[in-house]
Amino acid sequence: MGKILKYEWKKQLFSKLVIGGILIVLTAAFVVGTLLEKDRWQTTAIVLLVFAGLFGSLYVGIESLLVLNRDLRTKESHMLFMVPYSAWSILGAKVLAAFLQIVLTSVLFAASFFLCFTAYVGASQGFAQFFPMLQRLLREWFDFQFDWKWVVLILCEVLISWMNMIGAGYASIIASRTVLVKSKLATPLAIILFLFLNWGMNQIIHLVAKALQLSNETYAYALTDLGISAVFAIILLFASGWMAEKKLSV
Amino acid sequence: MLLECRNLKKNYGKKQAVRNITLDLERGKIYGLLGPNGSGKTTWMKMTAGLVKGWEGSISFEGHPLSFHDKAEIAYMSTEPFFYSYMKVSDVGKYYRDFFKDFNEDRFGELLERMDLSPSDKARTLSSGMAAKLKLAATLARDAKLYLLDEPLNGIDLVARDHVMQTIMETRGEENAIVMSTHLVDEIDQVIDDAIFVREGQIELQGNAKQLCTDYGMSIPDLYRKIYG
Repeated sequence: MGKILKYEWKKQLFSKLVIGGILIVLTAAFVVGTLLEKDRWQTTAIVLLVFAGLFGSLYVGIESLLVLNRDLRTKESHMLFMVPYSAWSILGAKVLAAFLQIVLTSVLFAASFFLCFTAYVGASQGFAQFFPMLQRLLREWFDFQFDWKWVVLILCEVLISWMNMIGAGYASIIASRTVLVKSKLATPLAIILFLFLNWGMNQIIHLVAKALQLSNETYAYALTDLGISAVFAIILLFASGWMAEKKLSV
Repeated sequence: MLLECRNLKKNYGKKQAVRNITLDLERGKIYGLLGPNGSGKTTWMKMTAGLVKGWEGSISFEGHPLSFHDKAEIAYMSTEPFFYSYMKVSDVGKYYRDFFKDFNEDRFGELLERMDLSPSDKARTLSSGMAAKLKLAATLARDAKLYLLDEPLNGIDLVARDHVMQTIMETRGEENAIVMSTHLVDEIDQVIDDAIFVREGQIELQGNAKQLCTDYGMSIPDLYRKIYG
Protein backbone atom coordinates (compact mmCIF):
# COMPACT_ATOMS: atom_id res chain seq x y z
CA MET A 1 0.00 0.00 0.00
CA GLY A 2 2.96 2.30 0.71
CA LYS A 3 3.97 2.18 -2.94
CA ILE A 4 0.51 3.17 -4.15
CA LEU A 5 0.55 5.96 -1.57
CA LYS A 6 3.89 7.17 -3.01
CA TYR A 7 2.48 7.46 -6.54
CA GLU A 8 -0.81 9.00 -5.38
CA TRP A 9 1.28 11.56 -3.47
CA LYS A 10 3.27 12.32 -6.64
CA LYS A 11 0.08 12.74 -8.69
CA GLN A 12 -1.18 15.39 -6.28
CA LEU A 13 2.13 17.08 -5.61
CA PHE A 14 2.04 19.65 -8.43
CA SER A 15 -0.88 21.57 -6.92
CA LYS A 16 0.95 21.70 -3.57
CA LEU A 17 4.01 23.17 -5.30
CA VAL A 18 1.76 25.84 -6.86
CA ILE A 19 0.12 26.62 -3.50
CA GLY A 20 3.55 26.65 -1.82
CA GLY A 21 4.91 29.02 -4.48
CA ILE A 22 1.96 31.40 -4.10
CA LEU A 23 2.32 31.36 -0.31
CA ILE A 24 6.05 32.12 -0.51
CA VAL A 25 5.46 35.12 -2.80
CA LEU A 26 2.55 36.53 -0.75
CA THR A 27 4.26 35.94 2.59
CA ALA A 28 7.43 37.60 1.30
CA ALA A 29 5.32 40.54 0.02
CA PHE A 30 3.67 40.93 3.44
CA VAL A 31 6.92 40.65 5.39
CA VAL A 32 8.78 43.10 3.14
CA GLY A 33 5.77 45.45 3.09
CA THR A 34 5.64 45.36 6.91
CA LEU A 35 9.35 45.95 7.39
CA LEU A 36 9.44 48.76 4.82
CA GLU A 37 6.12 50.17 6.08
CA LYS A 38 4.43 49.87 2.71
CA ASP A 39 0.75 49.62 3.64
CA ARG A 40 -0.44 48.80 0.13
CA TRP A 41 1.86 45.76 -0.08
CA GLN A 42 0.69 44.60 3.32
CA THR A 43 -3.00 44.99 2.54
CA THR A 44 -2.80 43.40 -0.90
CA ALA A 45 -0.75 40.47 0.40
CA ILE A 46 -3.05 39.78 3.33
CA VAL A 47 -6.21 39.93 1.16
CA LEU A 48 -4.63 37.57 -1.38
CA LEU A 49 -3.44 35.28 1.43
CA VAL A 50 -7.03 35.02 2.72
CA PHE A 51 -8.26 34.15 -0.79
CA ALA A 52 -5.41 31.67 -1.27
CA GLY A 53 -6.37 30.08 2.06
CA LEU A 54 -10.04 29.79 1.09
CA PHE A 55 -9.55 28.48 -2.44
CA GLY A 56 -6.47 26.44 -1.55
CA SER A 57 -8.21 24.55 1.26
CA LEU A 58 -11.32 24.02 -0.90
CA TYR A 59 -9.24 22.66 -3.80
CA VAL A 60 -7.04 20.46 -1.63
CA GLY A 61 -10.17 19.09 0.08
CA ILE A 62 -11.70 17.91 -3.20
CA GLU A 63 -8.52 17.21 -5.19
CA SER A 64 -8.65 13.50 -4.41
CA LEU A 65 -12.08 13.34 -6.09
CA LEU A 66 -10.82 15.16 -9.19
CA VAL A 67 -7.85 12.79 -9.43
CA LEU A 68 -10.02 9.66 -9.06
CA ASN A 69 -12.42 10.96 -11.72
CA ARG A 70 -9.52 11.66 -14.09
CA ASP A 71 -8.01 8.23 -13.39
CA LEU A 72 -11.27 6.50 -14.29
CA ARG A 73 -12.05 8.78 -17.24
CA THR A 74 -8.70 8.06 -18.89
CA LYS A 75 -6.56 4.97 -19.47
CA GLU A 76 -4.42 6.05 -16.51
CA SER A 77 -6.83 3.81 -14.61
CA HIS A 78 -4.83 0.87 -16.03
CA MET A 79 -1.76 2.09 -14.13
CA LEU A 80 -3.75 2.07 -10.93
CA PHE A 81 -5.61 -1.21 -11.34
CA MET A 82 -3.00 -3.37 -13.12
CA VAL A 83 -0.90 -3.60 -9.96
CA PRO A 84 -1.28 -6.65 -7.69
CA TYR A 85 -3.26 -4.90 -4.98
CA SER A 86 -6.95 -5.10 -4.10
CA ALA A 87 -9.26 -2.22 -4.91
CA TRP A 88 -9.58 -1.74 -1.13
CA SER A 89 -5.84 -1.07 -0.83
CA ILE A 90 -5.90 1.25 -3.83
CA LEU A 91 -8.78 3.37 -2.51
CA GLY A 92 -7.34 3.26 1.03
CA ALA A 93 -4.04 4.62 -0.29
CA LYS A 94 -5.92 7.36 -2.15
CA VAL A 95 -7.75 8.47 1.01
CA LEU A 96 -4.54 8.43 3.05
CA ALA A 97 -2.62 10.36 0.37
CA ALA A 98 -5.40 12.98 0.26
CA PHE A 99 -5.32 13.32 4.07
CA LEU A 100 -1.53 13.72 4.11
CA GLN A 101 -1.74 16.36 1.38
CA ILE A 102 -4.21 18.30 3.55
CA VAL A 103 -1.80 18.07 6.49
CA LEU A 104 1.04 19.34 4.26
CA THR A 105 -1.06 22.25 3.00
CA SER A 106 -2.11 23.12 6.58
CA VAL A 107 1.56 23.19 7.62
CA LEU A 108 2.35 25.54 4.70
CA PHE A 109 -0.47 27.92 5.69
CA ALA A 110 0.52 27.77 9.40
CA ALA A 111 4.13 28.60 8.48
CA SER A 112 2.96 31.53 6.35
CA PHE A 113 0.73 32.82 9.18
CA PHE A 114 3.58 32.50 11.70
CA LEU A 115 6.01 34.44 9.49
CA CYS A 116 3.47 37.20 8.81
CA PHE A 117 2.58 37.43 12.50
CA THR A 118 6.25 37.53 13.54
CA ALA A 119 7.02 40.28 11.03
CA TYR A 120 4.00 42.32 12.11
CA VAL A 121 4.71 42.09 15.83
CA GLY A 122 8.42 42.61 15.29
CA ALA A 123 7.83 45.72 13.19
CA SER A 124 5.15 47.25 15.38
CA GLN A 125 6.64 46.50 18.80
CA GLY A 126 10.28 45.74 18.05
CA PHE A 127 11.83 42.30 17.79
CA ALA A 128 13.12 42.60 21.37
CA GLN A 129 9.50 42.62 22.49
CA PHE A 130 8.47 39.70 20.27
CA PHE A 131 9.25 36.79 22.57
CA PRO A 132 7.86 38.41 25.75
CA MET A 133 4.70 39.21 23.81
CA LEU A 134 4.47 35.67 22.45
CA GLN A 135 4.84 34.33 25.99
CA ARG A 136 2.11 36.69 27.19
CA LEU A 137 -0.20 35.62 24.40
CA LEU A 138 0.38 31.94 25.06
CA ARG A 139 -0.24 32.47 28.79
CA GLU A 140 -3.51 34.27 28.07
CA TRP A 141 -4.44 31.58 25.55
CA PHE A 142 -3.99 28.77 28.07
CA ASP A 143 -5.55 30.73 30.97
CA PHE A 144 -8.62 31.31 28.88
CA GLN A 145 -11.37 28.94 29.88
CA PHE A 146 -11.70 26.87 26.74
CA ASP A 147 -14.48 24.40 26.41
CA TRP A 148 -12.13 21.67 25.17
CA LYS A 149 -15.06 19.35 24.50
CA TRP A 150 -16.21 21.78 21.79
CA VAL A 151 -12.73 22.10 20.36
CA VAL A 152 -12.35 18.31 20.09
CA LEU A 153 -15.88 18.03 18.73
CA ILE A 154 -15.21 20.65 16.04
CA LEU A 155 -11.95 18.97 15.00
CA CYS A 156 -13.74 15.59 14.78
CA GLU A 157 -16.57 17.27 12.86
CA VAL A 158 -14.11 18.70 10.31
CA LEU A 159 -12.37 15.34 9.86
CA ILE A 160 -15.57 13.32 9.60
CA SER A 161 -17.21 15.86 7.28
CA TRP A 162 -14.21 15.58 4.99
CA MET A 163 -14.30 11.77 5.08
CA ASN A 164 -18.02 11.96 4.40
CA MET A 165 -17.41 14.15 1.37
CA ILE A 166 -14.64 11.82 0.12
CA GLY A 167 -16.88 8.78 0.71
CA ALA A 168 -19.83 10.38 -1.12
CA GLY A 169 -17.51 11.54 -3.91
CA TYR A 170 -15.79 8.17 -4.37
CA ALA A 171 -19.12 6.31 -4.29
CA SER A 172 -20.64 8.73 -6.85
CA ILE A 173 -17.66 8.59 -9.22
CA ILE A 174 -17.27 4.80 -9.06
CA ALA A 175 -21.03 4.19 -9.37
CA SER A 176 -21.30 6.50 -12.40
CA ARG A 177 -18.23 4.93 -14.08
CA THR A 178 -19.66 1.47 -13.38
CA VAL A 179 -23.04 2.27 -14.96
CA LEU A 180 -21.78 4.53 -17.78
CA VAL A 181 -18.45 2.92 -18.65
CA LYS A 182 -17.15 5.16 -21.43
CA SER A 183 -19.84 7.83 -21.58
CA LYS A 184 -19.18 11.56 -21.36
CA LEU A 185 -22.25 11.70 -19.13
CA ALA A 186 -20.45 9.82 -16.35
CA THR A 187 -18.96 13.00 -14.82
CA PRO A 188 -22.29 14.94 -14.76
CA LEU A 189 -23.98 11.84 -13.31
CA ALA A 190 -21.29 11.63 -10.61
CA ILE A 191 -21.90 15.30 -9.69
CA ILE A 192 -25.67 14.74 -9.48
CA LEU A 193 -25.19 11.60 -7.36
CA PHE A 194 -22.73 13.44 -5.10
CA LEU A 195 -25.17 16.32 -4.51
CA PHE A 196 -28.04 13.89 -3.95
CA LEU A 197 -26.06 11.84 -1.41
CA ASN A 198 -25.08 14.98 0.53
CA TRP A 199 -28.65 16.29 0.48
CA GLY A 200 -29.93 12.88 1.62
CA MET A 201 -27.48 12.74 4.51
CA ASN A 202 -28.42 16.24 5.70
CA GLN A 203 -32.11 15.36 5.54
CA ILE A 204 -31.55 12.25 7.65
CA ILE A 205 -29.52 14.17 10.23
CA HIS A 206 -32.31 16.80 10.51
CA LEU A 207 -34.99 14.11 10.76
CA VAL A 208 -33.15 12.27 13.52
CA ALA A 209 -32.48 15.53 15.39
CA LYS A 210 -36.15 16.42 15.07
CA ALA A 211 -37.28 12.98 16.23
CA LEU A 212 -34.99 13.26 19.25
CA GLN A 213 -36.16 16.86 19.78
CA LEU A 214 -32.62 18.19 19.74
CA SER A 215 -31.94 21.86 19.17
CA ASN A 216 -28.92 23.33 17.36
CA GLU A 217 -25.81 24.42 19.26
CA THR A 218 -26.09 21.71 21.89
CA TYR A 219 -23.61 18.91 22.56
CA ALA A 220 -26.34 16.37 21.95
CA TYR A 221 -27.09 17.79 18.49
CA ALA A 222 -23.39 18.00 17.58
CA LEU A 223 -22.78 14.45 18.81
CA THR A 224 -25.79 13.13 16.89
CA ASP A 225 -24.61 14.92 13.75
CA LEU A 226 -21.10 13.52 14.26
CA GLY A 227 -22.33 9.98 14.90
CA ILE A 228 -24.61 9.86 11.85
CA SER A 229 -21.94 11.46 9.65
CA ALA A 230 -19.38 8.90 10.82
CA VAL A 231 -21.78 6.03 10.04
CA PHE A 232 -22.44 7.51 6.57
CA ALA A 233 -18.71 7.97 5.93
CA ILE A 234 -18.05 4.32 6.81
CA ILE A 235 -20.97 3.07 4.68
CA LEU A 236 -19.97 5.22 1.68
CA LEU A 237 -16.29 4.27 1.82
CA PHE A 238 -17.24 0.60 2.19
CA ALA A 239 -19.69 0.87 -0.74
CA SER A 240 -16.96 2.53 -2.86
CA GLY A 241 -14.49 -0.25 -2.08
CA TRP A 242 -17.05 -2.97 -2.77
CA MET A 243 -18.09 -1.44 -6.13
CA ALA A 244 -14.44 -0.96 -7.16
CA GLU A 245 -13.60 -4.55 -6.18
CA LYS A 246 -16.63 -6.28 -7.69
CA LYS A 247 -18.16 -4.09 -10.40
CA LEU A 248 -15.80 -1.43 -11.70
CA SER A 249 -14.32 -2.01 -15.16
CA VAL A 250 -11.52 0.21 -16.39
CA MET B 1 -2.83 -25.76 -17.69
CA LEU B 2 -1.82 -22.14 -17.16
CA LEU B 3 -5.21 -20.52 -17.67
CA GLU B 4 -8.68 -22.03 -17.89
CA CYS B 5 -11.69 -19.92 -18.86
CA ARG B 6 -15.17 -21.41 -18.67
CA ASN B 7 -18.39 -19.95 -20.12
CA LEU B 8 -17.27 -16.35 -19.81
CA LYS B 9 -19.89 -13.67 -20.37
CA LYS B 10 -19.66 -9.92 -20.01
CA ASN B 11 -22.30 -7.33 -20.81
CA TYR B 12 -21.88 -3.56 -21.03
CA GLY B 13 -25.47 -2.46 -20.52
CA LYS B 14 -27.45 -4.25 -23.23
CA LYS B 15 -24.36 -4.95 -25.34
CA GLN B 16 -22.88 -8.43 -24.99
CA ALA B 17 -19.12 -7.90 -25.32
CA VAL B 18 -18.31 -11.52 -24.48
CA ARG B 19 -21.08 -14.08 -25.10
CA ASN B 20 -19.61 -17.42 -24.17
CA ILE B 21 -15.89 -18.01 -24.20
CA THR B 22 -14.38 -21.28 -23.03
CA LEU B 23 -10.65 -21.41 -23.53
CA ASP B 24 -7.52 -23.09 -22.16
CA LEU B 25 -3.98 -21.71 -22.43
CA GLU B 26 -0.88 -23.88 -22.09
CA ARG B 27 2.64 -22.86 -21.13
CA GLY B 28 5.25 -22.55 -23.85
CA LYS B 29 2.91 -21.32 -26.57
CA ILE B 30 2.19 -18.11 -28.44
CA TYR B 31 -1.48 -17.59 -29.15
CA GLY B 32 -2.92 -15.32 -31.78
CA LEU B 33 -6.28 -13.92 -30.70
CA LEU B 34 -7.75 -12.91 -34.01
CA GLY B 35 -10.85 -11.00 -34.93
CA PRO B 36 -12.10 -7.64 -36.15
CA ASN B 37 -12.62 -4.63 -33.89
CA GLY B 38 -15.47 -5.12 -31.45
CA SER B 39 -15.29 -8.92 -31.48
CA GLY B 40 -14.55 -9.13 -27.72
CA LYS B 41 -10.77 -9.66 -27.78
CA THR B 42 -9.94 -6.67 -25.58
CA THR B 43 -12.75 -7.40 -23.12
CA TRP B 44 -11.55 -11.00 -22.70
CA MET B 45 -7.97 -9.79 -22.15
CA LYS B 46 -9.07 -7.21 -19.60
CA MET B 47 -11.18 -9.80 -17.77
CA THR B 48 -8.12 -12.04 -17.53
CA ALA B 49 -5.93 -9.10 -16.48
CA GLY B 50 -8.40 -8.24 -13.69
CA LEU B 51 -9.37 -4.87 -15.18
CA VAL B 52 -12.92 -5.78 -16.16
CA LYS B 53 -15.27 -6.88 -13.39
CA GLY B 54 -18.85 -8.02 -13.12
CA TRP B 55 -18.61 -10.97 -15.49
CA GLU B 56 -20.11 -14.46 -15.40
CA GLY B 57 -18.26 -17.76 -15.68
CA SER B 58 -14.94 -18.75 -14.21
CA ILE B 59 -11.26 -18.08 -14.79
CA SER B 60 -8.57 -20.24 -13.17
CA PHE B 61 -4.92 -19.27 -13.22
CA GLU B 62 -2.50 -22.08 -12.37
CA GLY B 63 -5.37 -24.08 -10.92
CA HIS B 64 -6.84 -21.46 -8.59
CA PRO B 65 -9.60 -18.90 -9.15
CA LEU B 66 -8.19 -15.70 -10.60
CA SER B 67 -7.57 -12.98 -7.98
CA PHE B 68 -5.77 -9.64 -7.78
CA HIS B 69 -2.64 -11.45 -6.52
CA ASP B 70 -2.27 -13.00 -10.00
CA LYS B 71 -1.60 -9.57 -11.50
CA ALA B 72 1.93 -10.11 -10.15
CA GLU B 73 2.33 -12.86 -12.77
CA ILE B 74 0.14 -11.62 -15.60
CA ALA B 75 1.58 -8.84 -17.76
CA TYR B 76 -1.12 -6.97 -19.65
CA MET B 77 -0.41 -4.38 -22.32
CA SER B 78 -3.32 -2.19 -23.24
CA THR B 79 -3.80 -0.98 -26.80
CA GLU B 80 -3.95 2.69 -25.72
CA PRO B 81 -1.20 4.64 -23.90
CA PHE B 82 -1.85 4.49 -20.15
CA PHE B 83 1.15 5.97 -18.37
CA TYR B 84 0.69 8.86 -15.91
CA SER B 85 1.01 12.20 -17.64
CA TYR B 86 3.89 13.43 -15.45
CA MET B 87 6.06 10.39 -16.22
CA LYS B 88 9.29 10.25 -18.17
CA VAL B 89 10.33 7.02 -19.87
CA SER B 90 12.62 6.27 -16.90
CA ASP B 91 9.72 6.83 -14.45
CA VAL B 92 7.76 4.11 -16.23
CA GLY B 93 10.60 1.69 -15.47
CA LYS B 94 10.67 2.79 -11.83
CA TYR B 95 6.91 2.28 -11.55
CA TYR B 96 7.13 -1.27 -12.93
CA ARG B 97 10.12 -1.99 -10.67
CA ASP B 98 8.16 -0.79 -7.63
CA PHE B 99 5.09 -2.93 -8.31
CA PHE B 100 6.32 -6.04 -10.12
CA LYS B 101 8.96 -8.29 -8.61
CA ASP B 102 9.49 -9.94 -12.00
CA PHE B 103 10.50 -6.66 -13.66
CA ASN B 104 14.04 -6.72 -15.02
CA GLU B 105 15.55 -3.23 -15.16
CA ASP B 106 18.52 -4.32 -17.28
CA ARG B 107 16.19 -5.89 -19.80
CA PHE B 108 14.10 -2.71 -19.81
CA GLY B 109 17.20 -0.60 -20.52
CA GLU B 110 18.20 -2.96 -23.30
CA LEU B 111 14.73 -2.80 -24.87
CA LEU B 112 14.67 1.01 -24.65
CA GLU B 113 17.95 1.12 -26.52
CA ARG B 114 16.74 -1.33 -29.14
CA MET B 115 13.58 0.70 -29.66
CA ASP B 116 15.40 4.06 -29.78
CA LEU B 117 13.71 5.38 -26.66
CA SER B 118 15.49 7.85 -24.40
CA PRO B 119 14.91 7.53 -20.60
CA SER B 120 14.63 11.32 -20.35
CA ASP B 121 11.76 11.60 -22.86
CA LYS B 122 8.34 12.54 -21.51
CA ALA B 123 6.00 9.56 -21.99
CA ARG B 124 3.14 11.93 -22.78
CA THR B 125 4.86 13.62 -25.71
CA LEU B 126 5.98 10.45 -27.51
CA SER B 127 4.55 9.78 -30.97
CA SER B 128 2.00 6.96 -31.12
CA GLY B 129 4.63 4.58 -32.50
CA MET B 130 7.17 5.42 -29.80
CA ALA B 131 4.49 5.22 -27.09
CA ALA B 132 3.57 1.74 -28.38
CA LYS B 133 7.22 0.71 -28.15
CA LEU B 134 7.44 2.02 -24.58
CA LYS B 135 4.39 -0.02 -23.54
CA LEU B 136 5.96 -3.10 -25.08
CA ALA B 137 9.36 -2.49 -23.48
CA ALA B 138 7.80 -2.10 -20.02
CA THR B 139 5.57 -5.17 -20.43
CA LEU B 140 8.17 -7.47 -21.97
CA ALA B 141 10.81 -6.50 -19.41
CA ARG B 142 8.71 -8.48 -16.93
CA ASP B 143 9.36 -12.18 -16.46
CA ALA B 144 5.65 -12.96 -16.28
CA LYS B 145 3.88 -16.29 -16.66
CA LEU B 146 1.22 -14.91 -18.94
CA TYR B 147 1.60 -11.98 -21.35
CA LEU B 148 -1.52 -10.42 -22.76
CA LEU B 149 -0.58 -8.07 -25.59
CA ASP B 150 -3.51 -6.14 -26.99
CA GLU B 151 -2.73 -5.06 -30.57
CA PRO B 152 1.06 -4.91 -29.99
CA LEU B 153 1.74 -3.84 -33.59
CA ASN B 154 -0.71 -0.93 -33.68
CA GLY B 155 0.97 2.33 -34.61
CA ILE B 156 4.35 0.70 -35.18
CA ASP B 157 6.05 1.16 -38.55
CA LEU B 158 7.02 -1.78 -40.76
CA VAL B 159 10.72 -1.79 -39.87
CA ALA B 160 10.10 -1.53 -36.14
CA ARG B 161 7.56 -4.36 -36.34
CA ASP B 162 10.41 -6.76 -36.98
CA HIS B 163 12.10 -5.60 -33.77
CA VAL B 164 8.84 -6.02 -31.89
CA MET B 165 8.25 -9.53 -33.21
CA GLN B 166 11.85 -10.45 -32.44
CA THR B 167 11.44 -9.17 -28.87
CA ILE B 168 8.22 -11.13 -28.45
CA MET B 169 9.95 -14.28 -29.71
CA GLU B 170 12.79 -13.72 -27.21
CA THR B 171 10.26 -13.45 -24.42
CA ARG B 172 8.72 -16.79 -25.27
CA GLY B 173 9.69 -19.50 -22.78
CA GLU B 174 8.69 -22.96 -21.65
CA GLU B 175 7.12 -21.59 -18.50
CA ASN B 176 5.09 -18.78 -20.01
CA ALA B 177 2.37 -18.21 -22.55
CA ILE B 178 1.89 -15.18 -24.77
CA VAL B 179 -1.43 -14.04 -26.19
CA MET B 180 -1.39 -11.42 -28.94
CA SER B 181 -4.61 -9.92 -30.13
CA THR B 182 -4.52 -8.38 -33.56
CA HIS B 183 -6.28 -7.84 -36.80
CA LEU B 184 -2.91 -7.54 -38.61
CA VAL B 185 -2.93 -11.29 -39.27
CA ASP B 186 -0.25 -11.24 -41.98
CA GLU B 187 2.28 -9.98 -39.44
CA ILE B 188 1.90 -12.76 -36.91
CA ASP B 189 0.89 -15.92 -38.71
CA GLN B 190 4.49 -17.16 -38.83
CA VAL B 191 5.08 -16.81 -35.08
CA ILE B 192 1.91 -18.11 -33.47
CA ASP B 193 1.48 -21.69 -32.34
CA ASP B 194 -2.29 -21.56 -31.90
CA ALA B 195 -4.90 -19.36 -33.52
CA ILE B 196 -8.11 -18.32 -31.80
CA PHE B 197 -10.69 -16.68 -34.05
CA VAL B 198 -13.23 -14.60 -32.15
CA ARG B 199 -16.46 -13.28 -33.54
CA GLU B 200 -19.21 -11.36 -31.69
CA GLY B 201 -17.93 -12.39 -28.28
CA GLN B 202 -17.62 -16.09 -29.09
CA ILE B 203 -14.84 -18.35 -30.30
CA GLU B 204 -15.53 -19.18 -33.92
CA LEU B 205 -12.56 -21.46 -34.46
CA GLN B 206 -9.43 -22.39 -32.56
CA GLY B 207 -6.56 -24.80 -32.81
CA ASN B 208 -2.95 -25.37 -33.76
CA ALA B 209 -2.14 -22.87 -36.51
CA LYS B 210 -0.35 -25.37 -38.76
CA GLN B 211 -3.08 -27.97 -38.29
CA LEU B 212 -5.76 -25.40 -39.16
CA CYS B 213 -3.85 -24.50 -42.33
CA THR B 214 -3.67 -28.20 -43.27
CA ASP B 215 -7.30 -28.93 -42.39
CA TYR B 216 -8.70 -25.96 -44.30
CA GLY B 217 -6.07 -25.95 -47.06
CA MET B 218 -5.31 -22.28 -46.66
CA SER B 219 -3.07 -19.90 -44.73
CA ILE B 220 -4.13 -18.19 -41.48
CA PRO B 221 -4.66 -14.82 -43.26
CA ASP B 222 -6.85 -16.56 -45.87
CA LEU B 223 -8.74 -18.36 -43.14
CA TYR B 224 -9.26 -14.99 -41.46
CA ARG B 225 -10.65 -13.56 -44.72
CA LYS B 226 -12.93 -16.58 -45.09
CA ILE B 227 -14.31 -16.29 -41.56
CA TYR B 228 -14.78 -12.52 -41.46
CA GLY B 229 -15.02 -11.67 -45.13
